[in-house]
Amino acid sequence: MSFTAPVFFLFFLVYFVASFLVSRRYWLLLAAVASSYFYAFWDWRFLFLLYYVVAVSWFVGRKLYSTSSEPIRKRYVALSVVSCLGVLAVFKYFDFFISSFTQMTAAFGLQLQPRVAQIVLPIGISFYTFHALSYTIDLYRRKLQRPAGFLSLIVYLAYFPQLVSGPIVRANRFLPQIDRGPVFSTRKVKTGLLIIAWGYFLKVCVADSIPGLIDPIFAAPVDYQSGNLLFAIVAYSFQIYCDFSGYSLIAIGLAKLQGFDFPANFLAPYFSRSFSEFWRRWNISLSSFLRDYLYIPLGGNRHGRWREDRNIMITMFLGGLWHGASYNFIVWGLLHGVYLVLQRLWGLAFGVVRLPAPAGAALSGPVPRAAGMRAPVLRGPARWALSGLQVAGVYALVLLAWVFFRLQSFSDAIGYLQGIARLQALGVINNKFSAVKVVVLIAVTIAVDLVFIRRRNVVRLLNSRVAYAVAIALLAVLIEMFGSFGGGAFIYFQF
Amino acid sequence: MKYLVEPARARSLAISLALAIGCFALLSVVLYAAGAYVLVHSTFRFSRIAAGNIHVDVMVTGNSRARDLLYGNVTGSAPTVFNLAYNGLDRDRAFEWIKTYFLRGNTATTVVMETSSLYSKEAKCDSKPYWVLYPALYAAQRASCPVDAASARYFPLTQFDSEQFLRALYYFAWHPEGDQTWGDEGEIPKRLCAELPLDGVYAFRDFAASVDRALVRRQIAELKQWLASHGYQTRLVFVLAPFFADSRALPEIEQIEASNRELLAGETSLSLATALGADCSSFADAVHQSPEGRRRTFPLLFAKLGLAEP
Repeated sequence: MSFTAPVFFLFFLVYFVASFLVSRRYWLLLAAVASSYFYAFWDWRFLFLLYYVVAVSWFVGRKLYSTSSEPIRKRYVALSVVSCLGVLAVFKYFDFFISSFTQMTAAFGLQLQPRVAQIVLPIGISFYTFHALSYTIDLYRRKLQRPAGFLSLIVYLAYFPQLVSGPIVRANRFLPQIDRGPVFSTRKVKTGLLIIAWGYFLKVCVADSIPGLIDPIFAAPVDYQSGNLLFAIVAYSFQIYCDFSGYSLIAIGLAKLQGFDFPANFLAPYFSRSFSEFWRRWNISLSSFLRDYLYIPLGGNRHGRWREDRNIMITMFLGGLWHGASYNFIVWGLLHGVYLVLQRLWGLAFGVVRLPAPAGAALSGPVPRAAGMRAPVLRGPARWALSGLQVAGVYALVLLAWVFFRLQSFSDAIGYLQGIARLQALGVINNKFSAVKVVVLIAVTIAVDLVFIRRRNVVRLLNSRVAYAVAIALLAVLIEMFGSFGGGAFIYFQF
Repeated sequence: MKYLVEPARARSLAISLALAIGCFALLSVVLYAAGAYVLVHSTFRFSRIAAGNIHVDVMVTGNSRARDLLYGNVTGSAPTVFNLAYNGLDRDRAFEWIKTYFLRGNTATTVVMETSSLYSKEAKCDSKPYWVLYPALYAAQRASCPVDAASARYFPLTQFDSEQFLRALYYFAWHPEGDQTWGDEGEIPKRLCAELPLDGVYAFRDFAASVDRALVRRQIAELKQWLASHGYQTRLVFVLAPFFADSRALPEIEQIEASNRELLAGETSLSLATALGADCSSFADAVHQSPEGRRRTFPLLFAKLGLAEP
C-alpha cells in the first residue's frame, strides 16, 4: 500500500480513529496488526520474513538482557547481525553475487552457468533489517536498558509509516515512545498536518511530474543535445530528492499525529557547502546509522589519516551497495567516498576557509570543524560569494554522482557524461509546457527550502494562525491541482 | 491513547484548521473562476471555437501532422482555414472535437482529417480542461476517462492539470493574436539529411495492422450522418500529409497508402505522402513539415480540394 493510493487514506483513518478508542495495551496489538496488514498488502508471503527478523531480534534481545558475560553477549549480537545481514544477502544480493562471480570466472576463461534464483526483493527489507540491527546493537552497547516485548518489537520494526522507506529511527529513541503509547497533542497534530501536506506536495506534485519529461532522455541519451542531458540530470536530482524526502516527511508527519517524534531525514541537502555537510543533510537517518554502526566501529578517524580514508571509503562503498545490488550504486557510493576523502585532503593541504555556521545548522546538529590550518572567518559579500561557489561546486559534483546512480551501466553513464561534455545548447523539448510546469514546481521547492532552512521560520509559521492556515490551504490547492494519486511507487521502495 | 490537550491549544488548533478550510475553499473558488476565465478568453484553438464565430472553407483536424499540414487563416482571403489539430490527438478525440466545433455554431464547408490519427489506439484524457466549457465533450469522454471524470467532479481543480490548459494560459497571456500559425519551425539540418532516422514513418507499420477497420468505418459513417442530421452541408475529406519520402521510407509509405485505400474505400481520400519528396528544407523531421513544407503544401492541397490557393 502506497501513501499515494486512495485506499491508504481510508486505512489510516480507520487506524487513527481506532487508536483513540483502545487502551495502550491494545494499541500495541492494533499497531502490530495494522502494520502487518499494510505490509501484507504488497505480498503477504514476505510477512514471514519480517516476523523471522522480529523473532530473532526478540530472542537475542532477551538473551542479551539476561546474561552479563561479555563473550556470550558478543555471540548473541553476532547471531543477530549474521541473521539480519544473511536475510539481506539472500534476498537482496544473492543474484548479484552469483552473476558477479560468473563474470569474474569468465574473465579467467572458466565458463560457469549457475542457476540464478530470480529472487524477488521484499519491499522495505533494507529498512527493517537495519532497525533490527539498531535494536540488538543498542542493547549490546547498553544504550537500551531493557529488551522490548514481542508486540513492541513488531511495532518498532514494522511501524507502517516508516516500514518501507524509513526514516531509520534508532531503537533507543523509538522504543520508549512505543512503550509510552500514542499521545494526542494539539501542537504535534498541527505540526504533523503541515509536514504531511508538504511531503505530499513534494511527492505527488513535484517528483511525480518529472519522470514523464526525463525518462525518454535517459532511455536514449544519444538522441539529445547536451543542454537536454543536463536538464534531465538536474531534474532527476530533484525527482529523487522530492520523492524520498516527500516519503520521509509523510512518515514523520503521520507519526507526529500520534505524538511520536521521528528525526528529520532531509535538510535542504542541495544547499550544502561541503560533502560532509551534504551527508548531514541527505538521508540523515541512514548516514548517521552508517556512521555509528560502521564507520566508528571500523575506527573512524582515531587511527591516523590513512585509516580514516580507508574507513570513509568502506562506509561509502557499503552505503552505495545498500541502495541496491548493482555496480552503478557502488560507483555512486565510491564517488561520494572520493569526494569526502579529497575534501579532507584539501582541508589539510590548504586550510579551511571558515564561514559562520551554515543556515540550518541548528536543525542538523553542530558542524564539526575540519582539521588543518585555520583561515580568517569571512563575512559580508565575500562570505555570500564563497558560499554560493561552494554550494554550486558541491551540487555539480553531486549531480555527476547522480549520473552513475540513474544510468544502469557504467558505460551508459560515461556516454551520458560525454554527451553533456559536447556543450551544445538546449535542443527541442517535446513537452515544453510540462517542462515549464516542472521548473516552476522545482523553483517553489527551492524557495521553500531556502526559507525554512532556518528553524525560526518554521516556528513563526506554526505560531501564526493565519500564516499556518494559508500555508495549509495553498499546499492543499496545489496538491489538488497537480497531484496524482494513482498509488505510484516511491523510488526508495526498491532499496 | 493519552490526551495532552490543553484547552487553549485545542481551541487554537480548531481555529487554525477552520481558517485553513476557509482559505482552501476561497482559493478553490478563485482559482476555478480564474481558470474558467482563461479558457473562455484564450485564443488557443480549443478555446476559440467557444464563441461560435468561425466560418471557414476548410477546418483541419488530426494529430501533430495535421497541425503542421496547414496554417490557419480565419479572416484572410479565401479559402479560409481553421486548424483544430493537436499533438497526439487520437481518432476518437478528433471526431468529438469536430462535433464540438459544429455544436458551438462554427461552420466549415470542408473538414480535412489527417489520416495518421485514424490509426491511434488509445484515447487520451488531456482535453479535460474543456469539459467545463463543452458539456457534449464531457459526455463523450467521461466513459473513457473514468478516473479523470471522477476527479473533475469531486476535485474540480484537477481539470487544470493539463498541457492544453497551460497552452490556453500561454495564448491568453502572451499571444492574443491566436495560435493558428503554431507548427514545427525547424528544418532538418543538411548534415542529417542523408541519414535521417525514419522511426516516425516506421511506427505506422504496426498501427495500420492493428486498426479496427469496422469501428473506424462505423465512426466515419456516424459522423457523416450526424453532420447531415444537423443540417451541415459539409464535405469530409481524408488527407495523408507528406512524409520525408526518402527511398528507405517508400515501402512504408506505400503500405500506409494501401491501408488507407482499403480503410477509406468510398470516402474522399487524398494522399500527399510523397508530394514533397525528400527535401530537407520542407521537413522539421521525418513526419512533420517545416514552414517551407507548409508553404509548398498549400497549393497542392487546395488544388486537389478544388479550392483556390489563399
